[in-house]
Amino acid sequence: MLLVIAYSSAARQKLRNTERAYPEVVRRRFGRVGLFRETALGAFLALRLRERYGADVQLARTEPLNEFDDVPEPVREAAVAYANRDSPATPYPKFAAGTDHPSVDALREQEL
Amino acid sequence: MRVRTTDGDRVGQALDLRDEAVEPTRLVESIRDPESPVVSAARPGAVHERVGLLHPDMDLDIRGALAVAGRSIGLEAPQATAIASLNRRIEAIDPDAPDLRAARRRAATAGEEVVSLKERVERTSGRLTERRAADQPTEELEAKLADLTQRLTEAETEAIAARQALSQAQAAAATARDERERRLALVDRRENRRREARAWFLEALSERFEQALAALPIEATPAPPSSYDGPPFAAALAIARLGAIDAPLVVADGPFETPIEARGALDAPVILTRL
Repeated sequence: MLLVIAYSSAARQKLRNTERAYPEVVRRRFGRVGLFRETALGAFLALRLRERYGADVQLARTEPLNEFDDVPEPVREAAVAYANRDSPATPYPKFAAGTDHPSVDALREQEL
Repeated sequence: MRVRTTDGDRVGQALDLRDEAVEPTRLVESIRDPESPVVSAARPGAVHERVGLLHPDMDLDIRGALAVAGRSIGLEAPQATAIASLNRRIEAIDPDAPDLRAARRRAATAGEEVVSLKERVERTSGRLTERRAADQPTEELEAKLADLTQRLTEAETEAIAARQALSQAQAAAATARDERERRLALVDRRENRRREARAWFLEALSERFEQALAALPIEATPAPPSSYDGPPFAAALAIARLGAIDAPLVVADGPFETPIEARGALDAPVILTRL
């Protein structure tokens, strides 16, 4: 989808108006952030916003995350194990200590 | 004030132009234009922007106009200091506006060039293999392939450079966006303070607004502004009366018999006209 983020009141207002005028294009809107359908109309509306508000509008293209393509196995396993841990109060650094799971620092350093 | 009309200049603080062929909107524009040869009068302030032209079909943001009128008579909302400080902080933020369009175009063009050259290299090398297998002369094709391969290498270098330049520009834009985000948060806070200030003025000027309505020769039932539901025209006249206004007010099709009466009721220089 096309991700549209507004950084000024005027751009945010226009994003709201766009959602009102084209509800079928604006699939989701959270405050000053909108997700537009990937059609020529979606691109047209997004580009029009950027043309008008310049750097106050950020456009990006999103895609679903396939963790089996994009995320290293140890990271996936750590996430699953941590989400299913027995003691919900354990913070991750403590949980990972003494196991094969990567440390927070290691995770932070590693680019996808 | 002095107003130029078709039959000569009219001078005074209360003018009756109801029998002159003047457009009220043109008149107000002339009052607001310091270069205008038509009107010379005191410069209009913020209240004049709201109620400088008064007529029965007008619209009015009562809260906004009351706040401006309240400031004109020296009242200050408790939020004033916070608003001024937010204004300074907002003005101090001046984020870069890097233009990434050129960088995006360069990266896209370079990518397309690489794809197209790769295809040509593959086709040419395919044909070369065929000619070799058929024992046909290959010098010309070999030269062509060498040239294309050379161009492909250059294009790939350019594509890498273009992608790097784009990602650097995007990183700079991301930093600038942090600034923009901070600025928008301050703007939102300022808007909240302003809303509170307007509510404060609404309360502070409640009695004066009601008294002004009662003092004017209009049909509207006097009421505090928070519960007022009469015509905007009457509210605008009341706000003009309670505000401090130096520039001439233009009243079209108003409730006043004479300009002197209007000047007395609105406590400002007045021009009476018709729509």
